[in-house]
Amino acid sequence: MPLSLYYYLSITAVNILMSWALYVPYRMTQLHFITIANMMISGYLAGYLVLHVHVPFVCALLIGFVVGGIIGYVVSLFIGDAPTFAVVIVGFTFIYITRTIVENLSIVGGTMGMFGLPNIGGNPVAHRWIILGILYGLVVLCGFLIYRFDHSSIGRAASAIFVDKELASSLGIDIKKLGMLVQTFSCTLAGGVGVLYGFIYKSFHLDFFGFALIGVYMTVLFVGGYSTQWGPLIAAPILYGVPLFFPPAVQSWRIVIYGVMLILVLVLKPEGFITRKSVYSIGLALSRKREKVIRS
Amino acid sequence: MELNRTLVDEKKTPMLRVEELSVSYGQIHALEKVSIEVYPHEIVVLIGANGAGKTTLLSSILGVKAPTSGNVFFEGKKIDRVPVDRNVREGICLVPEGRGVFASMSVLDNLLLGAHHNLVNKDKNLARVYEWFPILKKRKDQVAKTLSGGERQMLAIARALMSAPKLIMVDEPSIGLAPIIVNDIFDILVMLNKEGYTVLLSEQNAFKALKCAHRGYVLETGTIALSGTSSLLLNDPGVKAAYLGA
Repeated sequence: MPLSLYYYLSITAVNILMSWALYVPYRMTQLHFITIANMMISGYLAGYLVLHVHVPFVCALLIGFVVGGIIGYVVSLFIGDAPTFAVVIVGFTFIYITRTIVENLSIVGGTMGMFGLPNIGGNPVAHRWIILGILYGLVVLCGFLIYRFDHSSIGRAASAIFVDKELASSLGIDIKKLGMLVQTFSCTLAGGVGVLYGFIYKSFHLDFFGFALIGVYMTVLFVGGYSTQWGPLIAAPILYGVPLFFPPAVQSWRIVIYGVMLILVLVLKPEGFITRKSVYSIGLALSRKREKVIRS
Repeated sequence: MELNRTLVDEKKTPMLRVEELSVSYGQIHALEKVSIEVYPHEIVVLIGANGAGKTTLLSSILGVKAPTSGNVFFEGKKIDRVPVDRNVREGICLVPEGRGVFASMSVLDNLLLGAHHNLVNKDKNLARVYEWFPILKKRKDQVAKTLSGGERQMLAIARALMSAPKLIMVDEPSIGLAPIIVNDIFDILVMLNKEGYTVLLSEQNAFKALKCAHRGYVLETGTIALSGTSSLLLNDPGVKAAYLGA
């Protein structure tokens, strides 16, 4: 497999998963940027464990998920039912604090970064296939879980909170409990993805986890459509892939292009390109077509 | 709208007892030592002008608004400062002012939201709700914003019934509805009462509300100014002058 294709496929999967990590809490209006800090914490921790303690990669990956989940749970005890802006501020603060700590921590490479992570499976080719396998396995698993969530009573309750928090609360929906659930889920996912993100490049560097990541994931979520899981799933490969065909001089402006695109979409098509209504219409059309085929 | 008046005379333990409840919004005292009682199978109405504190009282009973002092007992258990979800599980529900349906969701989704804590019996409750409100069954896949005002009010009441409540609190059900629809809504409340539900109704349309209720309380600027049976309140000169346009 060409290296460029490997990077395209793996980063696309990371973008899908991380956009879903934002999508799930945003179902109840929480923009949970702590996920970026969680990627960093779990990633660096797993990298350190593999590189210096010689913990097997699978164990380090599981530890990454667990650490992400624990951080998410503990933080959700305080901001489980917090309004959007409070969650955003906590997220930014967490990223800033985590970056500063990593920057000053020599055991994880500080500003130089952590290099020389081993190949999983012994050689670079096996490494790529294993990483892609885990990433896309995770996309399928998370896609299924989020689909079940969206079509459950909890998903319905999250939609109600999104529309009117007070009214939802008067129906007896426990906003804090639901907030804790979605935040813990998204942080667990982010923890694991953070580990895989570093192992894609076999290194960890602070630049991997900059504030630009927020811009990328927000663009995927809001341009794709925040009201259905299909939005990020379809937008991620397009938004990451199309700029790769641009000349290198334009490619370096990618974040600016994303920013402009995000603003335009928020103004002109606030729900994004793929909405729940459009998914419903496509589903209806497909089921009608299937019925016709069965009848004929 | 015939009611079984003998129920009013039954001296039972109150289903709901509010004792000297005070609620403030910052410096503003919305409720000042309000005490009310609601007995099982009654329709009790709270009447009062805008800003009298009716909505605040209902919100405080449910637990949405924390009181500054006083107590609320439901079936003998103290429920003030208890989370809303626990109160809903215990059997209290609120039909909010202005219908409060989720306009972008389907009628069915709105109804299922009411059964958030009662998913085990949701099919049974849904069948019963459809039996009482056949129009909702007909429109179950429509988004709620396509319903008329009266249908939305029915949906809000039906959604409350999905939680299998013992006490239904209905906040200003007649607001913004045509008189003929208002009659239908009050007929529905009486029908529900006959089916065994206890109803606490907050209403500005005092005449219609008192006609269908067993008892009533008059709220004036956060305090109970008057209370008694509906016939007593309907004949009270003060109530007549202030709320019945006499």
